[in-house]
Amino acid sequence: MSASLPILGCFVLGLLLARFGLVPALLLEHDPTLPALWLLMALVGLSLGADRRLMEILRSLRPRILLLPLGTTVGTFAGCALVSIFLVYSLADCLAVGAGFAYYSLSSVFITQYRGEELGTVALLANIFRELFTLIFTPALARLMGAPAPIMCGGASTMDTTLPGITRAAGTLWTFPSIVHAMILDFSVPFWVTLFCSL
Amino acid sequence: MYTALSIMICGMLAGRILRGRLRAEALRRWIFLAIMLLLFLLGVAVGGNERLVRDLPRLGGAALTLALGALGGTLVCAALLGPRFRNGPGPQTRTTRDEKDPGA
Repeated sequence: MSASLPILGCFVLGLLLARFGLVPALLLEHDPTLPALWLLMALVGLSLGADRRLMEILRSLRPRILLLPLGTTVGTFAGCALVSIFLVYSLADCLAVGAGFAYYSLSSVFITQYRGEELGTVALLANIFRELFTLIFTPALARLMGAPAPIMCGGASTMDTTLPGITRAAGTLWTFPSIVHAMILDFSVPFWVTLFCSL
Repeated sequence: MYTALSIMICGMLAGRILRGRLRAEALRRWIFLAIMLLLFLLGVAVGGNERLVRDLPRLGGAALTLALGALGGTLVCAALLGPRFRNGPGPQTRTTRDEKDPGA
């Protein structure tokens, strides 16, 4: 948790400062998260490129890595199906929200188109929560449950926003499995969301 | 998403060229600082979005329930798969976490 607390603190600080109007309007008018993400990706790339073991890591990838996106998909759908009992939304709606796999921008647009703004907003928030959970708890998850846990929690975000944290907490050996995991889920998001929204 | 990936690949090429002149410890520190900056900016984006803040109490409960459900199911699967990846993502080796990850 030692690394998670400052990360959570930064999010809360930003939220409170913006809520009370204490941040420059420039930060609100022009979304600066994208350049910050690009900076992160450049740094991760630098650390990977500078690592002499890169080719060894690439050669070490095996088909069993595919178990990670499979487990993420099965676990996400099972969990969403279970909690749908307690919600006013249908099972298909809950599965559609879960099928965003933290890819909140794309999934919320799809769901808004098919099911309306309310479920689209729920999808946006649920998938932001998923990404935030992963960003905040990656160090603790990696330490307590091993590297697959933060990768699977991160869903489709493990090749961008959550990748630096995963690389830092789990090690560079898990960088390429994280990217493969995210790419497979990324391509599956439109398929699953469309399928569940059409049920 | 693919822009970010392209930037990472460019960074990898730069890292390959600058190999030997970059210090792993310094890069780790910069990555951590960049993560904190990203989270701060994400907080600013959420806190500065009136609609998101207004809708949070009404829809946030359902969203949080679904997120926790998805994460709970995923963590169960992660726990089941965990033993298969105890020795890392590659072939079965004798490496420990410290041995395979001196740079993280």
